[in-house]
Amino acid sequence: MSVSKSFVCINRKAPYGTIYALEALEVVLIAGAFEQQVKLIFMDDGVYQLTRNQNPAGIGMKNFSKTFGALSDYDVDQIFVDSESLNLRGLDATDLQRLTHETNDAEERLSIKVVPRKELVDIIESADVLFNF
Amino acid sequence: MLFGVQYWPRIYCKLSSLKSLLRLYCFFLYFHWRMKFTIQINTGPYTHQASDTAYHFTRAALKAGHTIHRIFFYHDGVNNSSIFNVPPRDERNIQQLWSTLAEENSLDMVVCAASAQRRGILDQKEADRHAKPAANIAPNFAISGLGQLIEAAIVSDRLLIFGD
Repeated sequence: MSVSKSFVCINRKAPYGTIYALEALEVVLIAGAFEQQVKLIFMDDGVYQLTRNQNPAGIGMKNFSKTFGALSDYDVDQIFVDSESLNLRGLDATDLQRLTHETNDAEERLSIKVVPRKELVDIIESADVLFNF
Repeated sequence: MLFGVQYWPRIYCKLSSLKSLLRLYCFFLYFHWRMKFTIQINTGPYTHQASDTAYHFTRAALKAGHTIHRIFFYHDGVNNSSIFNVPPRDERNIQQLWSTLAEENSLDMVVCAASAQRRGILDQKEADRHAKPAANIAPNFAISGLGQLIEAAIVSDRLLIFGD
């Protein structure tokens, strides 16, 4: 399909407790497979989805956080994290996974950007299709 | 003499042409401004009103001449497609409402495959494959993948999401 739209997916829920975080990742991967421009926003409890060293074995859940590493294979390399949400939860960028992607000249870049909430407004406004999980 | 009364006819002329232009524009909008919608339903029947609201929206949109490209049942929304739902006789049967609407308007109603399997919504092929005693997907619903949602979002003017 030649049409390319701007997809923005807002993730607001903790990784476990509801199925939404897992499903959001599915939607994003498929949108990436359709060669759409996909941006991800993590805010509120959604910031927990990106934390390192998750171990949900105690609640009988599968750790799906490693799947975020596959996002760059689908050219999903613009991930925005709301700094206020991080601060409120006593987290900072070092608590998050180190996700990278390669630029056209084979340079390694970080995919995750911690941004103030104000900047998220423009990203959301630029979306053709908005998913809110 | 009222100020500028000699210009009234001219002003009236201008106004009336503006009016007719506006009327033409409304006419154009009414007959040409048609949208292509895709509906996504995330919640099951009866607990929340989301599926009912989506149903009424779909009917109203069709009546107004818009196109419904696809209706996509996701998460608990897949439960709308079970033919085993038996609500009391004096209540609406949401699955039947959807099936009938789809029948009458040749709607494309897709149930997310992964969500459906988790929640026990099976067509005959899947029921046989997993050795289950029966299939339960209602007429005019089809089980398919998330790609159908993304494709619909790409080709539609608007994607409307009902439910959590």
